[in-house]
Amino acid sequence: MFYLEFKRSIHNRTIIYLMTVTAVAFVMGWALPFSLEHITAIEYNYYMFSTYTVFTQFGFLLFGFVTSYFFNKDYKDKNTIFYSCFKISVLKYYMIKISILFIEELICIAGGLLIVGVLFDSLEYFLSSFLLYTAVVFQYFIVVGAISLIFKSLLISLGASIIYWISSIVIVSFGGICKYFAVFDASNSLYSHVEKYFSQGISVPAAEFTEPVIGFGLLLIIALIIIFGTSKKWIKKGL
Amino acid sequence: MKLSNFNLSIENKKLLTDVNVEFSEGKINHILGKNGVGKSIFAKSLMLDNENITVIGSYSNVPEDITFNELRKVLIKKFDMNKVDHLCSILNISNIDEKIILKKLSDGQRQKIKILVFLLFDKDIIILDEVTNALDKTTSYEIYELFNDYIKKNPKKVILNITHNLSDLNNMDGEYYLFEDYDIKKYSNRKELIDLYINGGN
Repeated sequence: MFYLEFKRSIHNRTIIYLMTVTAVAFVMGWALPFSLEHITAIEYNYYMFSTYTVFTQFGFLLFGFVTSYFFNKDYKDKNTIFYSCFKISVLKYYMIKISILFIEELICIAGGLLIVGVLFDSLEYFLSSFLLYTAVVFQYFIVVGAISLIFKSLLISLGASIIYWISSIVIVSFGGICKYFAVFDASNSLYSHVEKYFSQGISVPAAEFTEPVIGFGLLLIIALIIIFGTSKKWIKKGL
Repeated sequence: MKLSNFNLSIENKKLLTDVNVEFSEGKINHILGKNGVGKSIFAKSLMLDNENITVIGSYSNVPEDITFNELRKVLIKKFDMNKVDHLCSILNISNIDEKIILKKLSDGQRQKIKILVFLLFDKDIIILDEVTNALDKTTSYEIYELFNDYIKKNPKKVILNITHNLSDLNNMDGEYYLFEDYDIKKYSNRKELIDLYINGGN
């Protein structure tokens, strides 16, 4: 079934959408410092940080549509019986879909970073940027994928995802335990450590990574609750 | 397949009340009914309650953003290759262009592929919901031939054919039922059912 889903993602242009939004993120990472900070030239390290900022601040909007589209298409096309005949549970379905999106996005990000590396003649920040960007995007896939299981309509899924995104930004601003709702948000301490890493070369303390780990754990728990909550209605929704 | 005191409703609207009906094994059980009486909801409810039922209708689709070749690979991995190829040959779909995605094939070819996939799962009860709707005569006859042959070779299976198309009744022998007045009633012959369906028995 993984093979089938991979092929579907090519034919229904999901992979093209991923490549496009990833390219848009890299372009915004380059363009925004020129327009907002009125700089005349951009260094490699600053460009990598600027692109990281784009992924964290605009990623939900950029990757929300493609994720919802990839999931909601099966409700719209009435395919859920097909999966149930193959004994694919909602959990397995969700994991296959997320894996496909994640693997294809890994390739897109790696490709983007390689091109940037060639242009700047340096791969110094390739690995760190790769890990940071993919971690940020992975959380969008987890959240939007789970939300898209709840709603039959692509537009409602998108709307609910945006409401979640805005709510998480507001909740994070309260600090304390609330910071785990959007671990990569600029208001969290991880962001300022990443900034120091790119601007001054100061390593991010290992303890700072506990926040994303806990944040991902919480997201996965929420996703699992949604998945098990929708398991009985999943086939019905796709009829 | 026997339904006893079967009730069905949707959003407080009654569709079937205390229905007692038996559908025969080894036969194609045709169910006629006017639009809006709840035939498709009946099919969906049966399928959702019983894992041994498959439905071939407009709401049970095969993903269409794949090529036939890709789908065939998945089917061969799960089912016996000879079985897949045998059904392909009966359905006359062995010659489909394997590089074109299913979405771009004709309605008839897509319908045949759907029949191929859902029949392979070999469920005991097969519900056909408007399976020849909007198909040309040649494709409809190929589908009739397939199900006539299929039920002969599988006498333990039950096929329910929900239809508006009276040609289905003329080309596939079986038993005849009318879905109306919150009930499913059996009729002894095709002529009586068609007469009642078209003229209301007058």
